[in-house]
Amino acid sequence: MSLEDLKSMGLLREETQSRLEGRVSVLYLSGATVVVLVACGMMIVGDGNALTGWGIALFLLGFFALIGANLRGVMKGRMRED
Amino acid sequence: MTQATETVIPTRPRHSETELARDLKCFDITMVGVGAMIGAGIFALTGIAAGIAGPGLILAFALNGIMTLCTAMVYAEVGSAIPGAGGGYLWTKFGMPGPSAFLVGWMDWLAHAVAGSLYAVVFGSYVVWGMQTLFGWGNPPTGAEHGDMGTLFGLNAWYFAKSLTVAVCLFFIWVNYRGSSETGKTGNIITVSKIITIAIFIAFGLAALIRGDIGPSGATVSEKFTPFLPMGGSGVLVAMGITFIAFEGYEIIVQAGEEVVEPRRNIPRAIFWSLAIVIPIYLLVAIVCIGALAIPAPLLQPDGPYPPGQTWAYLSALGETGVAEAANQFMPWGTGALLLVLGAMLSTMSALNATTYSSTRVSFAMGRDRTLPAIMATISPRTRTPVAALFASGALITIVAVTLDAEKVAAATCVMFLLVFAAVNLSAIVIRRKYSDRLQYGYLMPLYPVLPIIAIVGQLGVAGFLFWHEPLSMYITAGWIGLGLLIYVTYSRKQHHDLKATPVVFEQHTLAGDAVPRVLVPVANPTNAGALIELGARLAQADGSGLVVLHAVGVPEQLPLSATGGFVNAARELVDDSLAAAAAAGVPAVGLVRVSHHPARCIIDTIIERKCRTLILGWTGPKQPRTSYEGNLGAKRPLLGSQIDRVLFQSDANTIMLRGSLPTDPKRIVIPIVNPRQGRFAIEVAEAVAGENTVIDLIHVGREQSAVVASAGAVMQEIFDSAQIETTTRRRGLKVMMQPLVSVEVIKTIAQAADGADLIIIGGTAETWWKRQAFTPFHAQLASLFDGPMLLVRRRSGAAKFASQLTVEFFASKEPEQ
Repeated sequence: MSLEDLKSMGLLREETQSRLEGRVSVLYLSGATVVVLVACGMMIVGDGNALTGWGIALFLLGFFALIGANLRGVMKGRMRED
Repeated sequence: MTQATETVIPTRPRHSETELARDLKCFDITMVGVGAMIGAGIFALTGIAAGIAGPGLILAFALNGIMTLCTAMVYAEVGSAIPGAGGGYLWTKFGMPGPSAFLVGWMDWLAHAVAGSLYAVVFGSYVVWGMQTLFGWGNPPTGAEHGDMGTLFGLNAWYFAKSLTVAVCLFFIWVNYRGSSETGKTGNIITVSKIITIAIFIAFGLAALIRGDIGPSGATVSEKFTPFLPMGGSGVLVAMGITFIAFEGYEIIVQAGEEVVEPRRNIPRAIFWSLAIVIPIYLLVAIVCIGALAIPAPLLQPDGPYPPGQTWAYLSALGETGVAEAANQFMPWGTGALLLVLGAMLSTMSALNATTYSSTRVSFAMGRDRTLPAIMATISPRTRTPVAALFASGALITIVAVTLDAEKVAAATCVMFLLVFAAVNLSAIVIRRKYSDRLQYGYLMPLYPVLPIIAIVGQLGVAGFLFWHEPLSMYITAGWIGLGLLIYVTYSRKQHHDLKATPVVFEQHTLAGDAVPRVLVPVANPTNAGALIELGARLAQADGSGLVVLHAVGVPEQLPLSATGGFVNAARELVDDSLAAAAAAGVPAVGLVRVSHHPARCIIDTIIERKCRTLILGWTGPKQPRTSYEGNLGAKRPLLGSQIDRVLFQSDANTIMLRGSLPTDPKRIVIPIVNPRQGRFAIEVAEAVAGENTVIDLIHVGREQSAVVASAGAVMQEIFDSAQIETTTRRRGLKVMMQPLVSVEVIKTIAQAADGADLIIIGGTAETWWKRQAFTPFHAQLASLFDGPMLLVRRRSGAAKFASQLTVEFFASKEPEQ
């Protein structure tokens, strides 16, 4: 496939068009990633006890934060001038 | 015998003729994704995966969620920039070389179809189970034996389950036929009902788990989750692989890209919303199934097989109906079974709806590209749905559901999904690298390219574990890929080429006997056409073939190809004259006129279609010799000419470029020689153009006397099997003299040695497997110092080396294909 194919599909950006980009906060995303990884560690270390339960809860929290970071990135897409 | 064919320039199908209706909103496609994910995954595979990972199933779901999110971010990015039917298949066409896109589409098609058949099978199982338990019309499975479905109306329940499986498949073929809007509406109702049903199930399960008063076993909640990883980490990895099928549904969101309103924004949003709904549901279902399920007293040790805390093992034995059994236990007033049967029916129906939809879109996209038969791209004029692709995919789903053991095939399906996702992740890296400045994104993933790389490593790792755990999955995957490659080589490659090839507007044959034209001579300039035809005729006579005479008409980019006006008539005259010259030389020939915005493309297409072994080009010589090599394609300044560079890079034929006129009876031909492989070809060409008494002088230049003599001897040994500096050619017995010369100024020394020669033939440079490089600035500089007739010759690389070079170049270059 080539640029010509993209052009025929109407997907090439016009020269005069601004570029729309989703913007995800790397700091927010990294923080949430650390949380979910820590949560997975807690599940294993807990070996079925209360710590595992807390790990699951923390995982859900971190996962929602990850999704939230990405949704925020889509919603707050910026227009970038070339 | 002369035969002429004139063709009107074929117009490609307008995009609108193969365009789908765009009427799905963000909520609709979110529900499509949720519907696809929450299907048989939690109902059929929770029990199976629990048997593999134990309570670690929760961790497997969590890790799958993270891995899925990595790939989902990739899908969101590329899906927002290139929304179109086919999804991953479409993107790998831009992001991977060769047959990769076809194989991705091929695997994606089967994987979705098998996933759909799994959902249909589970639907049948649950309805039968409901009839057995709710209405008492038979005996449900006991859980003591795998595969037992019990009885219904006194007969084996298996027959009823399969009949229901076929019925539900046919129903969703009909729903999908009615249009994407209907598909979306039906899917929304079913999916929302399903989420509510599962939410009620989870709520009662959590309540029971918190109360901790379930069952006769006396095991505490904590005991049911301890040990958390009874099968170790490998069990978690295998469970991840087995259940991955339940995480792939977001891919269906991008399959709908062509039918989504405002896809740039809605596709990423729908992907993330669907994961936000699905992943927590999976975790909670796994928690309540293991934590709130109780083992019936007769099955407890010492009389039964299970220790009190091992609910995961009991869940595993129940298989597809394990979740229903859990609901039956912890929901009040006997509503558990009813609710779960309802939930499972809705889940499997929405997932079947979504996979029918997605497998249809993949095969439709492949049909549109002609990599599957063109009939697959047929759209119903009434409903605007890809009707042929739908019936083919529906038939595949139904046949797999009825004939194969869907659970066993599911592992292979997971491997295929994993391979498809790994390919898409790689494609996303390449697409951002090559096309990012030209595309408009609605979402950009952060930490590029770390996330796709993590996803690739994870997916290949899990696929490897699945191979190890389920060798059958490896055999099925390898068999399907092998079958795909066979179809690609024998059918798809040619069909796709024909669709994309530059059109032939005129063709004329002057062929006689069995001669097959294998020497391609593009002619454009009447002043050198005669010399090129003469050279071509000598080479064709030497190998007993004929000529393909081509005139490539270049149409400016701003004009359509049909606007060739009088150019084609002028081209026909030149082709007619060239055919006459070939006939006079006694060589059969075929004449072609092609039109394109890029004349080089016409030559490349002709080489591929006519399987031309040799290409003869005219060359005017260097205009501004370059001092350094920057790669043939995408270089700021062309080396030999922009069109010639492109032809040399993108095609693989023995190439001979003529500068000046061809001497009729050359007395002395000079060949500078370094690389024996290219040198041997230069000598073959010299034999073809030489006269009866021609002497071929080989010149070998080095910096030190002893080294030059030794390497000259080695070259002679390699080419003639004799280290003598004087010998004769094999075919015509022409005299060959080797001259070892010592100099630090190689180019000037060769030019001096060639002084007075009737013809100089310069071989191409030695090539590696990873870099395509026919000629270098050395050749251009030498051409600028020698005024006489000159041939630049290059032996073809061979199919394997050519493919390897293009693959490396594809990933190494930042330039998009033009």
